[in-house]
Amino acid sequence: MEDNVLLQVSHLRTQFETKEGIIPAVDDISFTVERGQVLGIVGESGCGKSVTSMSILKLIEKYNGRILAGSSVKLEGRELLGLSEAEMCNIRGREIAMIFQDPMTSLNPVFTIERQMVETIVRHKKIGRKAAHSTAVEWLAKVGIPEPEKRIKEYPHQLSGGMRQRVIIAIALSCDPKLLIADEPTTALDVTIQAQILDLLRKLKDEVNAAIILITHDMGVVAEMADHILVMYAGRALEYGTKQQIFRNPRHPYTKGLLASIPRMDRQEERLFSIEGNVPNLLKPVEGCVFRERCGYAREACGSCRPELLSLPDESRVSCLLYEKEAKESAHE
Amino acid sequence: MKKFLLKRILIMIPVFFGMTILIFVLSNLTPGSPVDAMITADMTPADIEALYVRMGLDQPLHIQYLRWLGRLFQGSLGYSFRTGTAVTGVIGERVGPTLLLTGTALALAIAAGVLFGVAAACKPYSVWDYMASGLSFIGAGVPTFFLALVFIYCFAVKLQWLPTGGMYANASTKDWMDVAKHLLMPAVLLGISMTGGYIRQTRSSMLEVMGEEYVKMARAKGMREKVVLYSHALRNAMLPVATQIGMSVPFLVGGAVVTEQVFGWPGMGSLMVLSITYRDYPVIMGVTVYTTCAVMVVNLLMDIIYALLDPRVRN
Amino acid sequence: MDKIKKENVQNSFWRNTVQKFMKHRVAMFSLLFLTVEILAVILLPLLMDLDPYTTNAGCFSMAPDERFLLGTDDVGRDVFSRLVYGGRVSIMVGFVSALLSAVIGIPLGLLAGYYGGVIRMVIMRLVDIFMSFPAMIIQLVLVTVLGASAASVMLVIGLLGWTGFARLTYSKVISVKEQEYVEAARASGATNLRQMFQYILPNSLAPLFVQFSFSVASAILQESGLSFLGLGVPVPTASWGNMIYSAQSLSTLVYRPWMWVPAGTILVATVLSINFIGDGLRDALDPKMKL
Repeated sequence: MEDNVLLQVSHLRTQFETKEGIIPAVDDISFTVERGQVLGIVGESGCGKSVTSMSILKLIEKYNGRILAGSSVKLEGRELLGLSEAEMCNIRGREIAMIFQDPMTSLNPVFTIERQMVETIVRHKKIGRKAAHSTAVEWLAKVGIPEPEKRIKEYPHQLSGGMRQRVIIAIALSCDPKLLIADEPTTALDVTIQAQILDLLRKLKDEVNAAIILITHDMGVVAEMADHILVMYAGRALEYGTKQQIFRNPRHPYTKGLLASIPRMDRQEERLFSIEGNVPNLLKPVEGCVFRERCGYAREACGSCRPELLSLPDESRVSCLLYEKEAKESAHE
Repeated sequence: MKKFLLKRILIMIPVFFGMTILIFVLSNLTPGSPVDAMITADMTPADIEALYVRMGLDQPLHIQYLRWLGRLFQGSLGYSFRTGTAVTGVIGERVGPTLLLTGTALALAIAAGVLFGVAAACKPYSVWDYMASGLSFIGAGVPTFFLALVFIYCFAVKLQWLPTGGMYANASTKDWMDVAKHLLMPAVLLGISMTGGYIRQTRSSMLEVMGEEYVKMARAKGMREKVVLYSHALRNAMLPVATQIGMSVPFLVGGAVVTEQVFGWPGMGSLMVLSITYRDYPVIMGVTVYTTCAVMVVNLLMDIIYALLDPRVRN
Repeated sequence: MDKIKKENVQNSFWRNTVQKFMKHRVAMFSLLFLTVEILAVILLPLLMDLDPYTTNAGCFSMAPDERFLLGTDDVGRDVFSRLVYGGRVSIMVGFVSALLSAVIGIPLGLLAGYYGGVIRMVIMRLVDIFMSFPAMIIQLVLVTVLGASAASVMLVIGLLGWTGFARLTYSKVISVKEQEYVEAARASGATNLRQMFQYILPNSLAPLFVQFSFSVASAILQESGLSFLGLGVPVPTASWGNMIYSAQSLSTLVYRPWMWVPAGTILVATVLSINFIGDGLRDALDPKMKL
């Protein structure tokens, strides 16, 4: 069982120091990703999803973020947070690759597709430029780019958004990473192309046998792709479980709200459900539960102590006082 | 690329005519006319009149302009009042020194601008950053001639490391080391006057580019930080810097006039000042035409360089 | 109702800007310095007995003493008096030239941005032409034609400095033009002129102030450059530039620093402080900057 764990993140805390104060962008997040599995991290924008992924790659420090002591990110049992920058450079792109949200801005506009692919392959696979070139062409074909030999000579602005995202996927997978972090990979694309890209990701994931962390705000995307789901809110983990558990039996009031706000074709509703209120200002330290102010079940106790991430009998986890009793029972058993 | 070049050249055409018309108007405002130099004491008014007709000065202005333009293309700009020789010849011997001075200064300014700009952007609050802002403030606020006087005072008079001015210690020897020694101070000074803008532009566009998604992606691909900075980021940051360099070339010419004058450098700038004191209008207008055309050519070159840097412009 | 709201927004924008500017220490210090300096060059001649023109016989090139605070120049004129009077000239040339540039450039930018089409093309081509002129050369020719005087120097610097204003106004106008209140004014039948000057221009002003301050600094530098070449403000009128001109002779440069160092230093300090004020203003006007 342990052998199957690819990535183990525990008690990850990342914060930004700004002139207005400290922002705890990721506040004590733990999860594991198993080999070949897809973990969906869902939440609204600004909930710390992207900061989590940038922290795993230890890139957040370049963007003024700070990972606090006590955090741990282990890849196949090896602690990443203690590695030097040079060692991390060998991990990034090789072991853990990443796909970004906006294909229009993620490729360097002044370099050809070829250069951007080949430099990655040469960097990690230690093969010559010629061999790297043919690998690159192969990958372009695999991600469904027609005439790859010709297209590889082109510049990003000559390709459409969907094509560019395919190129980015090709770059990410070209070094056979064990883990792929896809940060909102379809958000910036047209709906029809979104589906194509998701299909492509699913197909290629099996081919290279990579695990995926899929970061999205779109419950529909996770429903299609994920094995496990982590629900984040204001930098904290609110619920974690398998896809079935989350969709069939959501526990946390926030997860319930998220699911209720998905527009559904099979029901005729007057208006879409939406969660009242706004995300709390993280500059002010939050006492108790972060979701309290928007929660319909909030009690006095929710404001005083921060709810732990409770383990429930079915191995899912939830951070809500409503389930304290249930969790205790499971602990007794 | 061909289409882009063609477009740039087409845009240059109205600019060229606009500029030459303005210069032509200016030269008509200057006292004296091209025939003045040919009038001899024994000419009758009728002879002079005939000379005017022969030179086409009785024609309407637009015809005169076209003829003037025609002569311009043939490289005949009249005769100097001061020396009596052809203007092209007078200017010709000054072109080399000016190109040497401005070229060296520009190269130094670009090198320093990019170096300090990148350092200031990548290592804020470092010694480099402070040196960069110091240099850019000197460039922006201290007039070249004042700094030149301070430099001459320090390096030529007090320390006696460098000559106070001129281009050769002995004009007949043509010793390159000697020329380099004479060149150093004026070129550095002219460079300083230009580099402030380049530093600030490089710094700010470098900072902007470092926030871009493709830089994040390059890092996430595992590229080493040096590659990320000097290959991915700098290449993009250079685009606005190239524009800035192109736009600053007219100021380089202005700075050269002052620098050449302070150091007695035998270039077109000091020729301009000399000609003005002698009211040598044909040479004054000749220098004006030459420098403006040179600026236009440099601008076109900068456009080509820009296109080479940015594939989006090229296609 | 809407108008009141808009005015409130405008007021708070300017109040905010002033507050941000006041926090900019270098800029505030520069503003203080410049104010003191301008007051000094205006008031000192009224309060003190200053004489920049009389050539004191037998007092040529004298080092500073009690009688001549900063010594005398090579024809025996009091350097301190010339510094003060020269300040009047140099600062005035700076402001008048910048104003002239603004008066030419802003309307042209407005026209180009507001009307577009052929008008835009002609004006922007003109900007291209002027921007690729080596300004200094043209200034030299013009001064030679017009004859050197403070007035011609201002005219010549102003005439060649308008492109910055035109470009900036143009880019500002095309973005402001599409705003709702301008469309509302258009819909309610405001004339073109009224739209341009009452609605569009006031909302494009902020960056133009910044441009103006940099223009003043640049004009002061250009004047000093022309004067240094002997083609700016002609003697006996004093300007900082023509005071430094005297240092072209090596003996003055080395043995009589009082003739050129004070003028050079004050010139540098003035230009730098105007630039700092411009920087402070730009930062204060930038909504992204928080101080």
